[in-house]
Amino acid sequence: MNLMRAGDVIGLPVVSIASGEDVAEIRDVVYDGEGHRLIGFTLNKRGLFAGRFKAVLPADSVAAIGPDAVMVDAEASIDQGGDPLPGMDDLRSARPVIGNRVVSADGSDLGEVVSVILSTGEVPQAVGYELRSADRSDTAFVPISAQLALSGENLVVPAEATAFVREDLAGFGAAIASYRSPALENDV
Amino acid sequence: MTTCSFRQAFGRGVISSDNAESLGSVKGFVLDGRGGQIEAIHVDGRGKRSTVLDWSSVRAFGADAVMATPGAAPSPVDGDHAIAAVRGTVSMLGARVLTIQGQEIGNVDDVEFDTESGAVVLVHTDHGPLGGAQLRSLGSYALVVDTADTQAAAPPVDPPVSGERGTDAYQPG
Amino acid sequence: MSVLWWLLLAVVVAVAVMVALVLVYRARRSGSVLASRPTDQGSR
Repeated sequence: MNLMRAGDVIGLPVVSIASGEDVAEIRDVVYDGEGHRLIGFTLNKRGLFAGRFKAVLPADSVAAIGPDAVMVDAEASIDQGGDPLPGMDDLRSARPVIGNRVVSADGSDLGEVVSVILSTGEVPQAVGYELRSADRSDTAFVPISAQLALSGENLVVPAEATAFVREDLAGFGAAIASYRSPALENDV
Repeated sequence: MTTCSFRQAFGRGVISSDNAESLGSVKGFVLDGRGGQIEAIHVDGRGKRSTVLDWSSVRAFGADAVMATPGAAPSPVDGDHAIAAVRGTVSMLGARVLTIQGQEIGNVDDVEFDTESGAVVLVHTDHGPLGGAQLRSLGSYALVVDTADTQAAAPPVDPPVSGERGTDAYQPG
Repeated sequence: MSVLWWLLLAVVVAVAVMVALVLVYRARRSGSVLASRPTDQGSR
C-alpha cells in the first residue's frame, strides 16, 4: 500500500498521460469526512502567478497519484462543468482538518492533526491522521476507523485505535493493513 | 536494424539525391505525440521560419549524411505540434521522464532510433534505458512512460559508445 | 539632498508593498485538506 500525506499532494502538477502536458496544479484535497474516500481536488492553473481553475478533478478520474505528479488519462478528465461533484459542489460546508484537536474516546488529549494520510491505490482514500502530540514535538499516526468522529474542531478517535499509533509512516502502512475496520473494507 | 542516436545525428548534412545539393543539416527532430516516431527532421532556420524534411522523404539516414528522396524538398514548419518541436518547447533531449504512476525517473540523455523506419528504439535516461514501446506521450512538461510494461522494456544492452553504433554505412537496395 | 531621501523612501516602500502582495498571493494560492460530507449534499 502506498501512503502519502495529503499535504504533499497539494501543489503537485496534474499531468495528462495522453499528451505529457501539465494541465493544472492541485490546490485543495477534498475527502469524505465520513466515508473516508477521497472525493477530488480543486485546482490552480500552472505558473507562478496563474490563478484558480474553475474546474475540479474528481478522484475517480485520477489515473495515479505519485510522489511527483497526479496523473490523469487526458485533459478531459478534469471536470469542466456538468453535474457538480457530490461533496465538492459546496465547499463552504467542508471543514479543514489540519489543526483539529485529537481526543481519544476515553478523554485523553492526543495532540492535533498535522496531516491526513492517503492511500494512493486504485481507490484513493484517507486512511489515517498524522498527529503532533500536545506536550512533545514528535508526531504519530492514527488509523481512520468507522468509529472516528470529526467535527472541524475536534477529532475523536476510539480508544482501541490509540494502540495502533505508529511513529513512522512505513510502520503505519503495515499496521493499517491489519487494522482496517470492516466498514472500510466494505467501502472498497 | 541500424540505429543512430540523436546526439550522433546532429550536424549531419542533408543532401538532395537529385543534384547533390545541400538542403541543410540535422538540427533537430519532430516526434509524434507519443514520442515514439520521428515525423520530420528540422533541417534549417529557427522558430516559425524553420524548414523541415518529412521522414517519408528520407531515402537513407547514413553514417555521414542524410539523403533525401529524389524530388523531395524541405517544407516550412507547419502546425503547433511541429512548431513546438523546432522551438524546443517540446524536446525529447533533456525531457523530464515521468511514469504513469506519477513518479519522476530522471531526464532524457539521448535517443536511439531505427534509421530506416524512424521509430524510437531506446531512450537513455540518467536512470537507465527505456524501450521505445514504453513511451506514452511527449509533451512540454514530460515524457510519460509506462515502466510497468516490462514486455516493452529495453533489452539489456550496453549503452552505445560513440562511433560504434549508428555509424554503419548506408546499404543500397 | 532631501529629495533623494524621499526618493529612497519611496523605493523602499514600493518594494515592501510588492513583497507583501506576493506573500498574500502565495498564501491565497496554497490549498488545504478539507473534509466534506457528500451524503449531506445528496439529501438536499
